[in-house]
Amino acid sequence: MLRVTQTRQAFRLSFLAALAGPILLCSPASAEDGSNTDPGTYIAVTSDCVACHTAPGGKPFAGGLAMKTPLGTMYSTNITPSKTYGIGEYSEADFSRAVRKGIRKDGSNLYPAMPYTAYSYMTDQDIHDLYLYFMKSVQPVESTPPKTALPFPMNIRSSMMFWNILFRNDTTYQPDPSRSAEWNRGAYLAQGPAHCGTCHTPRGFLMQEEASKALGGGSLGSWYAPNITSDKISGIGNWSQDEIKTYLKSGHIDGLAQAASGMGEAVEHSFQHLTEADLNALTIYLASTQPVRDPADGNLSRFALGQPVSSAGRVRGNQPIRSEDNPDISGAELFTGNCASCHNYQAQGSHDGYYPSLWHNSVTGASNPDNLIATILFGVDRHVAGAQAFMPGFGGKKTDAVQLNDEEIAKLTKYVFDTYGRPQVSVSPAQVATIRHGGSKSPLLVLSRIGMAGGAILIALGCFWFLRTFRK
Amino acid sequence: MGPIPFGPGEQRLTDVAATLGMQNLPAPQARNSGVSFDGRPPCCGNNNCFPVCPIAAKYDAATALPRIEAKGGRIITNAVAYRVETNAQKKVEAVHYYDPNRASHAVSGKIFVLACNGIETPKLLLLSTDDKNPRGVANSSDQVGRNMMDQPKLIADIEMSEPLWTGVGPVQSSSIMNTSQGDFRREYAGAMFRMENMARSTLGGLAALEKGLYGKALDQEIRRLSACTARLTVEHEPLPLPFNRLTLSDKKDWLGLNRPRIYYDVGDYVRRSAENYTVPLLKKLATALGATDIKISPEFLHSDHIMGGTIMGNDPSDSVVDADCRAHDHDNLFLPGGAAMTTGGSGNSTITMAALALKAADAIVGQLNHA
Repeated sequence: MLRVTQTRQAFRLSFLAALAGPILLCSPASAEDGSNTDPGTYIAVTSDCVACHTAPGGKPFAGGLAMKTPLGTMYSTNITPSKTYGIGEYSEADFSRAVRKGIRKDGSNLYPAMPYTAYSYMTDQDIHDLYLYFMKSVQPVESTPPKTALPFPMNIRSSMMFWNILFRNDTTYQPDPSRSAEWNRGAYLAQGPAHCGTCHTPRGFLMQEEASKALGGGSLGSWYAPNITSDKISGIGNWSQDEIKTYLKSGHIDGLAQAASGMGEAVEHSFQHLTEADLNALTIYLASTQPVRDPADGNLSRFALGQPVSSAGRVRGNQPIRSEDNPDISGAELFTGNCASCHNYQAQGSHDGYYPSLWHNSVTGASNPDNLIATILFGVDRHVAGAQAFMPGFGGKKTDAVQLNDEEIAKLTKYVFDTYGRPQVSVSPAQVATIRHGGSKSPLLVLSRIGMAGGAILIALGCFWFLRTFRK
Repeated sequence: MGPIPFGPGEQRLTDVAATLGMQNLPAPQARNSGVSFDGRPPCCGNNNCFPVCPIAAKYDAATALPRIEAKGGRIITNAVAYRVETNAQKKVEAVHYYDPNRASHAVSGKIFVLACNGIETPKLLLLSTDDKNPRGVANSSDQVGRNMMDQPKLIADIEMSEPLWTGVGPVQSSSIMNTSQGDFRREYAGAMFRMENMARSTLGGLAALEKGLYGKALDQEIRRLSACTARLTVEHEPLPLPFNRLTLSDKKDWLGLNRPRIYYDVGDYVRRSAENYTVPLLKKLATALGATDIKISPEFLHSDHIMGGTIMGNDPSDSVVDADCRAHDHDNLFLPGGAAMTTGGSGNSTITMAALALKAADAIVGQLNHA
């Protein structure tokens, strides 16, 4: 029985916004553009180990981040050089095996929540530098985080062996001689340490990345990592190289898109610290990917939809105070009461773009409603270049000041799509509930148990037949 | 978090006030500035702060309600408390409340907090008379309901020849407090001065319409009044006076509960201040701002800063609560908030009330831990 698991990105708890504060202060890269950083620190930043291996408010690399997956909750491990609780006893060979092959020092398998399938492309030199970084530059933390305990049969790690045979890559990155050195550097970064595909590539039934649709968009629990191929409708094919680079470095572009959740953290902890040369290389690579078209997009790109429209005139004065008690409250009223104070009445945002406009915005122009729902529930919290981009959540946390329920968020999301983005995106309260609770569950758990029960019954019948036949 | 930058009107006021020795400084208002805090965003200048911030950048108690529920607390709505019941050990045993059908219910517990602010807290204590508490609960000192205070207020509405432009940033973002201190306080009250930073467009619009203007002339007048008018406010320090007092009226509300009756006189200490100090200074400030018209309110106004009623002190014979807002008479009863304030000062009092609540909370936690 193959046991399959999601990669770590699928488990990104939408509450990861809380990571931002303490982690930023302990962020390993010291230089703004990475050019003066030692190689070990730099490769750690590029690989963004800190984002998963640090719990909200926890010590760096001490593990404990809870990641909700379709197959259960996983916790990242302590990878500080503690000899008792971390990787302090690892040799470089042990380290390489864990990072590139997904096998721990004690021989047991890691789940591909740890993206070893991407890190498998990393060069020996980078692994060496990364190893030294962890052994010498990271503070040991003498505590153990909660252990991952997926429900049976997913807790049988050794079945990962079969999955790895099918899906793990076993060679470091091989440069393409027909491409420039810069392109190859970008390809190496994207496929290896920066592991873009871990989030942005859709997954097959057994949770493996679908190579034929590389970077074509992937679901991550409550959020959706969109299509970033060069496709001109479904991807970023109409972006200039300058825009791609600016987005990686800053996490937003007025009138196009902004990064939240997993990508917000990736910009905050990783991309904003890369060298100009590496950002250029990544940009060149990203502009050259195979286009992947999503038929759900029709012929409309997600980046240029919607227009400034205000409903304030028809909403004001119609309802008495306390309209949030009204079960018939309209999407326009919800918008005016909860969103317009910051995003403005025509949803044009603020002059300086601090609050983005909601039209000409990839989130409202998308054919997939997940990111708009998740943004309303969980908000945005992104620290880049010393400044914070923040939007509160509206009920994703029980402590949020405003608690919108599933019906209200469904109405509001529909209103925003219809008025400011892609019309006719369907949103139901049930969809909102799913997103609120961490995303869809995989059918694999149930199927595997049914499969095992079926297998057990077959074996029992077989034994029964055997005994009957041969005991006579 | 740093201060919120001044808008043009505030900056001009600051510069002009400085020439008169008045220091206009940023005023704390529990408002997130520049960065988020506690899941709430920073101020974005809606200029719509009262009664609550539309984006919860300025703290308000309602933001605590989901947190209370997240920790397992229960919030019972549509419930009017009408009686505090004590037992033979002088501990509070229950609080009784009415639902909208006037059916009575009781809540029991280990520790009780009455946080109904300066009118309802003393009223509830006075309503709770029985043979154990003939003057009401927590009232052996006879101070419950006494020493009621507010900050008597005067305003000057001014029109200027040059634009000032209030309305950028929070509605109240700065104030002048160095006018509240000095030897003169032997004789008359100190006071806080401030310019209201509310956008003047609503008032300007209404005033322009009153003039019967229309078309381009209306637009121009609205713009002029929005830019060239302002309101200066002064809030005086009250004295705590035992005869400024809340008692129970014979009149009752629809639930059959006595309404509060309040005797309140701002006092000569405040009146002398207006005559000798604050009104002349207000006129000076307005003139320095280039005012062509100054209208000063003919009577004192209320500031909605209700203080006193269950004042704090070390001596149980002349105070109601101790330094932790714990009632002297009943050690499991806490009365935080404005009612515990023994003196009024002249600065906005709500943050002090919140601080007293936090202090009481620490004491409550300590008391429960040592139980």
